[in-house]
Amino acid sequence: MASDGGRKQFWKRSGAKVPGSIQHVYGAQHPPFDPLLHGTLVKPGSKPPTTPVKLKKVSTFQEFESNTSDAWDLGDDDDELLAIAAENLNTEVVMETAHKVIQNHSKLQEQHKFQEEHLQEEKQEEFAQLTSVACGDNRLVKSVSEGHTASSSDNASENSSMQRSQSLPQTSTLPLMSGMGDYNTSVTSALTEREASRLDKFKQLLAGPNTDLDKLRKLSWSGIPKRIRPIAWKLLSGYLPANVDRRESTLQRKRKEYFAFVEQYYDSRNDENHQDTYRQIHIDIPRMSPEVLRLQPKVTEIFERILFIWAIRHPASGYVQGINDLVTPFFVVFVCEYIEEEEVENFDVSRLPEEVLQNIEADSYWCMSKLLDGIQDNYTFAQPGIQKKVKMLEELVSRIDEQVHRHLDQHEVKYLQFAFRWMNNLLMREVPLRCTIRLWDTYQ
Amino acid sequence: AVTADGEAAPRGCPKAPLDPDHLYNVLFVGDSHVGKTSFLYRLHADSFNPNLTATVGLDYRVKNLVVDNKRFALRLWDSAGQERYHSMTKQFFRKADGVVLMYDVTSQYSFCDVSYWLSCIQEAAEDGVAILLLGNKTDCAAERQVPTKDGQCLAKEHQLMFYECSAASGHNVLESMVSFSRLLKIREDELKNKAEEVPKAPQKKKSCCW
Repeated sequence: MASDGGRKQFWKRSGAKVPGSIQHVYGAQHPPFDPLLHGTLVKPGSKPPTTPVKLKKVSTFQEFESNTSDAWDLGDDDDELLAIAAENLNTEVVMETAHKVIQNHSKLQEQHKFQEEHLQEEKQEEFAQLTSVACGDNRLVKSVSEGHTASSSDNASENSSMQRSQSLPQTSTLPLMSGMGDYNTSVTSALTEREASRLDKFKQLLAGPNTDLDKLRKLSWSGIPKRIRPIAWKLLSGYLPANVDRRESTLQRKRKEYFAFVEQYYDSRNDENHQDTYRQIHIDIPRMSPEVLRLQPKVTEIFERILFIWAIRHPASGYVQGINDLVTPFFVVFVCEYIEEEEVENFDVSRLPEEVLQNIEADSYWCMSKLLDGIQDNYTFAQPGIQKKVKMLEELVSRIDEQVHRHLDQHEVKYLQFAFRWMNNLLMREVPLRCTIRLWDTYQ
Repeated sequence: AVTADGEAAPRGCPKAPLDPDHLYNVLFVGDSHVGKTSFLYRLHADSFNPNLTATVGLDYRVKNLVVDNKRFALRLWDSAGQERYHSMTKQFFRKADGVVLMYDVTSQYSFCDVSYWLSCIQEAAEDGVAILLLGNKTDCAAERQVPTKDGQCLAKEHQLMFYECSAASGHNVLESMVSFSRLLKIREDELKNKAEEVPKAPQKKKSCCW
C-alpha cells in the first residue's frame, strides 16, 4: 500500500527492501538476544540469491543455534531461555520432542479424519521406504512413521513427558479454536502461574499511551497469550498505530476504506477482465481447510470478498492458490476476540452481529495485506520469491545436515518438490492451525 | 523418456514390496479443478474424497501395477493447475516419461486449454513423451459440455491416447492407467531401439553436407 510505505510491516522492516523481500519468513526475524545477528540478516541491498544468511560474525552453528532456540511458551525469562540453550539440544531430546509433536498431531488427526489419516500413513510409509534405502541413518524418517503407528499405544507415558513438550501448543480434541488457547484445563497450575505473569507483562506493556513495538515484538517471540493476540498482531503488523489515542479513529477509517473497496470493485467480479480471478477464488474456497470454516456460508463469502479485493488491487500477482490459506489465521484470531472461551467449539460465525463480522473482515483484509506486502514476489510471475527461499533452504540443509542433503541428492529428490508448498502457504498445510498461529507470533 | 542418463542412475527406485520391471515418471497436468488430485486419490484408495484442497506445487504418489505379467511402478506427479504455477510445473516436464493431460467434460473452458497444455508439453518435455488425454467427471452427465467425440477428435489429431473417466465413480480410472502403462512400455522399447541406431545417424549426415 502506497500510503503505508513508511510503516513497519510484516517481515519487512528495513525501508530499503524491494517489495517482496522476505528474510523474515523463517520466523527468525527476532532472535531475542543478538541484535548483531539481526542486523546482518536484513542488510539492505545485500545480494539476493546464494547465501543471504550471512553468519560470518557468528562463528559456529552452535552459537547460532543457541541464539535462536525457540522456546515456545516457556516464558521469556532470559535465564530460562539460556538454560535451554545450555542444554545444547542433544539429538535425543530433539527427537523425543519431535516424536511427541508427531504423536499429538496424529492423535488429533485420528479423532477427526480417520480416513485421510489412514491414507497419509500409507503415504508416509511409502516415503519412508523410498527414502530409507541406502541411508545409513534414517532416524528422522523412521520416527515419522513410528509416530503415526505407535500413536495410540503409549498414552501412559504422556504425563511423564518433560516440560519442554508441555510447552508446545496444546493439543485438544476440539475442532478449531480451543487448541489455540494458550493453556487448556489439562495444564498444571505452575504453568498457569507462569502464564498469568506473562499475561501481566503484556498488559503492562499495552497499558501505556504509546506501545513500544520493539518490546512487544520481543515479548511475542515466546508466544502471545490468546486474549492479547488480536491486538498484538494488529499492532505488530503496522495496522494499528502505537499511539492509543489514534487507534480507534484508524480502525474506523480503515474499515470504512475496505468497505468502500468492496462497494467499488466487488460487483465487477463477473466482468470479463476479472472473471478468471473470481472463478479461481470461487473454486478454491469451497475446498479450503479447516472444514469448520469451509462449511459456513458466511465465512466463505467473507473470504471470497477479501481475496477478490486483494487480488484486483495487486495485479502484479493477482490471486494465487495458497493465498487463501493466509487469510485463515487472521480470521480465526480476530474471531476469537469476540467470543467467549466456552462457546468456541463448533462456533457458528453467523451468530456474531453483522457489524462485528464486518470488523473482523476488514481487519483480516488489512493484516493479510500487510503480510503479503512483504512477500509479494512469492506470487508474481515464475514465483521468484519461492524459488529463492527453496534455494536458501537447500543451502542451509547442505550446511547443517550434509547427510540428509546428500541422501536427497542421491535419490534425485529436488527441494522444490517438497518445500515449494512450505514456502507458498507459509506452513499452513504442514502443521495444525494452532501451531501455525503460534509461529506467526514470531513473524510479526 | 527413458534416456541413457535415466538408465545409468537407478533413479532412486524404491525397494518397493516388489522390485518393478518398469519404473515410469508420470506428470499430471490440466486446468485447476478438473480432478487431477481426485483421480490420484481414487487410484490410490479406490474411493472418492470430496474434501481435497487445491494442490499447491507438486505432490506425488506411487502406484504399483501388474500388467501383462510385468510389474510396473508408476511415480505419479500431481501438479497445481493454476496458471501461476505453470513455470514451476514446467521444470518437471523433462523428467517425465509420460504426461496425463486432464480436462473436465463439464467445462468447455478446461477443454479449450488442452491445446495450451499440449504446447507446454511440446516445449518442455522430451520428444516422444507418451501422452494420455483424460476427460474427467463423466458421472456429471447432466452438466456435460464436451461431447466424447470432441475429445476423440482432438486425441486423434495429436495422436494421443484418450479416455473418459470419473474419479467420483471410479469409471475408467484403473483401466486408463493400465493402458497407459502399456503405452509407456512401448515408448521405452522404441527409444531403446532408436538409441541403438543412433551411431549410424551422424555418419549419414556428414556425407550430405558439403
